[in-house]
Amino acid sequence: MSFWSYLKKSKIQLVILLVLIITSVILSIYLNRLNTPPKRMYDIDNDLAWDYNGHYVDRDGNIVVDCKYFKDPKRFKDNPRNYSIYMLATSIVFDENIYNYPTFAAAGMVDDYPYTPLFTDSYRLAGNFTGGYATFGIPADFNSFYPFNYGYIDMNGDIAIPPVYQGAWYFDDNGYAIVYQETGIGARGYGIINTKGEYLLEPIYEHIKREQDGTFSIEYFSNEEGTMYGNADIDGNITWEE
Amino acid sequence: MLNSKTTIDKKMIYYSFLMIFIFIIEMAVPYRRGIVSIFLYALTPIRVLICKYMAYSFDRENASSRDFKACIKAFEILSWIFIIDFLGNLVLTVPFPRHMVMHSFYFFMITMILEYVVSSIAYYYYYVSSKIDNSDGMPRVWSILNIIITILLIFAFTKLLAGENDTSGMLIFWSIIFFLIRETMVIVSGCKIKKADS
Repeated sequence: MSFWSYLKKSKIQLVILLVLIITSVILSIYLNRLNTPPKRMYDIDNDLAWDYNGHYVDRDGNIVVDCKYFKDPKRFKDNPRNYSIYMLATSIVFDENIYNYPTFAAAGMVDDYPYTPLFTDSYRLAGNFTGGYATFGIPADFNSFYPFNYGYIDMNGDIAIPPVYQGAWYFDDNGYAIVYQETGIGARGYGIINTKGEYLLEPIYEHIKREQDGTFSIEYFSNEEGTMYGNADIDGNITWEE
Repeated sequence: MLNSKTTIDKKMIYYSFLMIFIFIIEMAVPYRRGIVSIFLYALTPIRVLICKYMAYSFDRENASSRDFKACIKAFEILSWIFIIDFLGNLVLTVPFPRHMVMHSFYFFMITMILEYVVSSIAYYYYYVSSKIDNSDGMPRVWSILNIIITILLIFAFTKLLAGENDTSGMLIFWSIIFFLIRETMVIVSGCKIKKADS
């Protein structure tokens, strides 16, 4: 008896296997088409864009910034088995928390989240470079209220400020950026940091807005006084409105 | 020309190496879209075919001289587990939203441990049915080694889920050591059986 006739003995198994193989090939081809990266979005200031592969490139495709910490597990979505092995391997070899997967993404694009309206496909986790720094995000803990933590990378692609903020915005000409951070249970708010990651204003404010002249208008809430409005200069001195 | 008994022993060694080789490929080949994706996808059906081929080889042996019914059964079950694995991969591919990722991880880790256990059982019955086993206690050593590795893997898996990566890494390191000992046993036993036969 040949191997083929032995295989034919268990017809159901053979049929199931063949159907699965054909379906998976079709599905794989279809998903690959679906997963084509979106169009690059070039910055107005420097005419550079993220290529969704961890590189900040010019219009000819030359790499200007290479994000060394870029990881791109997003394409695993058409092979969950391989993805699980990847998760296992990275957790053991790189000692990274398994709950930080599947979507560690820096300077790239994350999966589309069909069940999460906040994120749509082609959502960019990396910001543009202003003042030599760009924001980037990694997924927060699996059960965290905030889906991502943000930090800053420099023009060498190195992490300049680690991803500890739940919200991070660009650096201005004076070297200050508005961030949002949760520092403990019930303790959270907007603050201002310098390029070293040091706080100019602690993250305790309800809201901070950047003004044209480089100062910041702030909103603070206290149980005694209620909501207070004020203005902070670039040295961190606050003037409260009466 | 090799006789049929030597051939099945050699086939078991080849099977062992092939399965490890496929697993290493799965671990090492970085995911890329297109042909690599399809290739990685195809590894599980290849495993199914290998299992079926081993069942077929044992079936032929069974017909000629020795009793390998348990081995055939184990390899048939293993091929079904691989089909379920493949089906799971396919089913989870279709939606694969973020909240399903951990579930898919559980599923594949459990099926991988199951595959390992069933293949160990297949080997065990192979040893039991071989000539030299009863004299040197091969099946006993084999089953003890497999039980140790399975327990280590289950512990490693649970520790990994608890976020204790150091402990998990250590457990997996030891399971690899035991696994290497186990694989050495496969080769040595294959040579022994061949020697005893000639």
